[in-house]
Amino acid sequence: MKEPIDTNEDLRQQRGEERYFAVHESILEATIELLDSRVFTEVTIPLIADHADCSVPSIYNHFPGAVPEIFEEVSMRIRNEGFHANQEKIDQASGLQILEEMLKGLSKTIVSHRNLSHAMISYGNYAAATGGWMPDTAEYMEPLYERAREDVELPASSRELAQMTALIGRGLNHYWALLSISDEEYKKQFARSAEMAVKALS
Amino acid sequence: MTLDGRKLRAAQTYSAMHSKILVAARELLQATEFIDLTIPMIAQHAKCSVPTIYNHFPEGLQDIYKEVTFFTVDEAFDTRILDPEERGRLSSRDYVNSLLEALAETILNNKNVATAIIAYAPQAAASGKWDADTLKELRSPVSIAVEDFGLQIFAEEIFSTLELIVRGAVSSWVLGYLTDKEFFEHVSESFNRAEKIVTP
Repeated sequence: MKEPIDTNEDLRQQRGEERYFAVHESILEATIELLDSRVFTEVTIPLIADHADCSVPSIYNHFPGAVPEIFEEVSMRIRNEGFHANQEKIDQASGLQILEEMLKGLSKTIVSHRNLSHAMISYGNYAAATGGWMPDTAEYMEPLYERAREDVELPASSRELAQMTALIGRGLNHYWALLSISDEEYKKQFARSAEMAVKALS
Repeated sequence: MTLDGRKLRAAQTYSAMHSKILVAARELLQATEFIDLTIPMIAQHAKCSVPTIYNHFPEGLQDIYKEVTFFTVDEAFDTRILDPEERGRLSSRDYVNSLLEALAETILNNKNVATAIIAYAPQAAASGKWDADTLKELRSPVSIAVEDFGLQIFAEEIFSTLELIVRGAVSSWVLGYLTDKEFFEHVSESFNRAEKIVTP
């Protein structure tokens, strides 16, 4: 008699987890959609709840840190999508081409989520000043520079090069978000930012 | 003459009030996050009315942030630009580097202003209201330095690359990815590095 009860509990737990995951996803999807059509200051918890078809307390259950936590997870998701957008080419590349392929994929993903990217470029600085933002892109690039170093001689440490590349990328993000450069120019320059970092530190 | 005198006094009063509002906003930003800053707060601090602020800054906070940035950056450059003795002693390259050091020091001393502007500008741009060329005062000294080193054809490219590095450094520093020391190095070296990037 004991076993069937356990199975029921397992199934119940599994259904609970699936439901939890589905609501979590719908909150993130709703936020991505909202940020694509509004400035970040207009995106509120009740609005997200309405759009995700769930209750306000349910959102706080998933994201106790409220809007900043949701924005951070959304940004991490888009950025990770960008890091791996050209994964196959990154795996096959050598030298600085490794960084170039990654940067091409990242900038393409950023441009495809234009409004959300603009919102997060602006919001990230505010979030950082008031409590923290996602980890530095440089942390992801450092191992790629280590790989590149196996094929080419580099003028500085992988950390310094990754930091410089991320810094140039951030400068380009601002130019692009301030509408000073076109999408095509942004993507072209962004793909070159590793090459620029190597020259700057030579 | 009387009319001219009256006009002159009115212009002086207007200009004094304009500066007073900007100084008040900057003082408040030292202790308040930009997102919490409001027009009534600035009016109270500047001892003027809310309508007076809108008279000076029709777009409200957006105009104020923009002018506070120019005001702060110009102040940093003025200390070096207006000192002919210092300017006379330096080569054109060292002079640009000295301006960049002054800029880095000023930004380090005004973190909330830097945060406000870097967070606010993209929003303003999205609504088509941002045309700030914050580093315009650097354009001419950079051109002179580039000319002195025989790289004239790249002057504009070097300047825009320098701007790119400074902008990226401010953003990276505000995001907490650079220490104060690293930030200072990136900004003060931005001319030398921009030159290396642009040189074939």
